[in-house]
Amino acid sequence: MLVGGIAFVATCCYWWQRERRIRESLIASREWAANTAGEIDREGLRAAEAAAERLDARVEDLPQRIATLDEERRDLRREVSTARERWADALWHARFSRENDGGRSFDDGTVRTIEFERGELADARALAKRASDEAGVTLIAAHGDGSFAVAVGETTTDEFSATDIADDLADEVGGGAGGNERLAAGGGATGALSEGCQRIQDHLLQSDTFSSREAPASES
Amino acid sequence: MTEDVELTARTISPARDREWGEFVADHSDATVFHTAGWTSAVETAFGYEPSHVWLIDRSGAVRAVVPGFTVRDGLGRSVLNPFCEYGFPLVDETVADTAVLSALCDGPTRILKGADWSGVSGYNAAGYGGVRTGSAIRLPLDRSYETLRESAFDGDVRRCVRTARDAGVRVVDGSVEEFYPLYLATMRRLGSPQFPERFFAALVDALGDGVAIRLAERAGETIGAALSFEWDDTTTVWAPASRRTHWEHRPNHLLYTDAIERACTAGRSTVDFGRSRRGSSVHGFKTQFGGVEFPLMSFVAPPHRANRASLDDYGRLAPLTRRLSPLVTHPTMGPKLKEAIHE
Repeated sequence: MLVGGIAFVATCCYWWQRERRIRESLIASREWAANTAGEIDREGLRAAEAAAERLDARVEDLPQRIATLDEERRDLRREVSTARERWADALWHARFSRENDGGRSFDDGTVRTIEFERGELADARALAKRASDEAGVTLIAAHGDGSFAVAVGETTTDEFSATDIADDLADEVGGGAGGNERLAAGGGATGALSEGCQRIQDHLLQSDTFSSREAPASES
Repeated sequence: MTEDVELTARTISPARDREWGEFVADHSDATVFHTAGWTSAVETAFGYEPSHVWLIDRSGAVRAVVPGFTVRDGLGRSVLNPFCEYGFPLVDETVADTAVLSALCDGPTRILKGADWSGVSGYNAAGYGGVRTGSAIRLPLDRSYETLRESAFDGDVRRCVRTARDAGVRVVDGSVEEFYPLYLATMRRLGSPQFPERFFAALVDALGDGVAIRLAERAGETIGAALSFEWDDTTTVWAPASRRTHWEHRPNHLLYTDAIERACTAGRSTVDFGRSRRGSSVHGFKTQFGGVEFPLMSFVAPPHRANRASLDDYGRLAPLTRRLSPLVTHPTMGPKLKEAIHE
């Protein structure tokens, strides 16, 4: 009876241990499959290692390194933006200020077209932003990337919308445009941008607002 | 993209069958522990029954290889790759891992030592139980040595290397005969059974230039040593040794940085510092060099024998074996214990 009891307890212990071992080991291998052995994790690690190599940093230092780079990038964008504002202001003064031609003003407050052979959208927008402080309508063509911008002075917004003019220009030269009443920009021109601007300018000059004024300014 | 193919397992000899070497050489995840040189050295030194398997498809093409020896495990027998961290199968990328793992389940208990960087998955689906065995720290050599030293190493490492150099420690090439006494002294200090000297000699014979023995010398005395495998694009620091009385001169830091610098110079992509347990002093030492930690798990089929892959008991016995060090590292007893433990 005693031997039988001992044998029974020993058998129970054996099967209990065995069942526990199976359960624990299968849970471990399942967790491994789910958490560490997955292809996604390996790909993620490889990507992180490649990024770390590119940034000359350790994988664990990546978040800090990326945060630092992002801050540097933001600073540089701010610097570029400020530099463009200064450039646009200087350019405007050089072309349209009275002081630059013995008191004669180039600007008549009507319709202007400015063209840049190598300029791009960001340049066109910066100059348009500066131009929007002046009266009249300014068309800017940037041939570097086929983009354009339109600025409408505050005193002229009752008659003209920058968005509408930019849309008209996009209809003439291709591409698309968008913005607001004072400032609009577009890109993707497939036609002749200079001729398109000229046609829009002529059209605007025929309007009641400008038809009674002097000849317009055109710069390039 | 993997395909379902019918695989047949065949026991072969890596040393004799040329296709084994070609398959291992072509496989991106192969380690030195998959090579014919490694299996040959283990067989020569310990006389285990070879049970290396390759799996072929219907056309006879080799689609996977698995190194392994049949060893005694208590009252039973197991098939595993002894004395190393990596005993996973190398699988052709067009074949599903699960098909290979399932084909290996027949026969005695199979223990496959996996690492999550190996690319092999599907152990659970194939019915394998898992036992965590620690983690391996691997340093990707994605930058020059100088950049690694400045950006990846802890400041302590640079300080310790300066200390070693200021103390006149230098690293030179060594031989098994020079390495072994220091290795034996280290095993005695740890109370851990030692490999027989003939195993290291067999490794050098089988792997040739793939084994690098480097000695840290000071004032004509060897105060540290490291045996590394320099195989393919990986350096594996496998058997470090040092004299405790000279730790103040930081020979281990100098030896590890030496291994890393050599690997960088040779254009290798990884230095593997081997297995350690998180929280241990060894683990803390290895993490100073800035590597990435990869968990290790041994997979066992059938899963009710998972305890055979566990290393926990050795850890629990460590305080006792340190006390019994003269016995467990006796020139006769130590290698026999090592053979029985096969870890």
